[in-house]
Amino acid sequence: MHIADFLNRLPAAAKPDAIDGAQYSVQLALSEPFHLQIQDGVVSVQPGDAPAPDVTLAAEDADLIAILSGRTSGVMAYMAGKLQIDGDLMLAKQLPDFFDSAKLA
Amino acid sequence: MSRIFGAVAQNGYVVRDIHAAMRHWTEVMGVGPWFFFERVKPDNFTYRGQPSGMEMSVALANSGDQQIELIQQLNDEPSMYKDFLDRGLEGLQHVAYWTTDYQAVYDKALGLGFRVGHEGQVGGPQGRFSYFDAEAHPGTVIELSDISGNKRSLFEFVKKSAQQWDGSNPIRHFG
Repeated sequence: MHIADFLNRLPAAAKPDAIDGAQYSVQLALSEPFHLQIQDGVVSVQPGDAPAPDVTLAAEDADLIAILSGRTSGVMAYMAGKLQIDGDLMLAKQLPDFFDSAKLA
Repeated sequence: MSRIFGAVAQNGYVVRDIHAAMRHWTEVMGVGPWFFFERVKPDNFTYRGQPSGMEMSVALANSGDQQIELIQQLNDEPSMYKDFLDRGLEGLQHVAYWTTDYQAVYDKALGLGFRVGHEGQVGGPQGRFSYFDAEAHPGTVIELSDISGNKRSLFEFVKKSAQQWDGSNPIRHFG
């Protein structure tokens, strides 16, 4: 799956309870840059760079897809060097929990 | 400052009960927050040149610029942590030096006669670490750690979190 197609599924897969009250900016350094805005109970996906992200995740496209869709532990990917995190480590850990993995499978 | 390795960046404590140790450091010593990694199995881990399946829990926090590391080994596989505990010791086991030029410092240490006790990697190939077997008294094992990869941003985050810590959420479970 192309990374843009996958990321465009994130807004519909967001769990309302999980993102309620959350206000985050997440930069994704992938084969092409994207960023997520999580605000007012809505997730939006935009190409390019966020001005001041809370966290930046860098990974191969397939690895990030596996992490966000719950097929791979983000912590294990981080420990193996497949996921680089710069910024809010705990937000990075929490990010997959914002989404219903069944809707991303 | 070490003339060989630079400034000590971390003090590493080997403990038998990491949860009790974190509680002591937060409640009695006021140091935190702690970032807790429940199961860490370093890649390519060897003890005196032989593969070892050592697994541990690790917790990190900062007191100013100094990082404090707590380590509890979870199994009986060979390691310098196990050696330390088997001698009846608990507490400060090593001081760590961080570098972005790991191979050069590692080679320099070997050239000076240091011998590797155990080594491995966490966070990919740029996350290597080695413990040199040059202990004079407890707390003087030397760790050399490569921070040119994931560890650098992790350590910066731990330090920044300590600077901003108001005492809330003292133990932050990472994985």
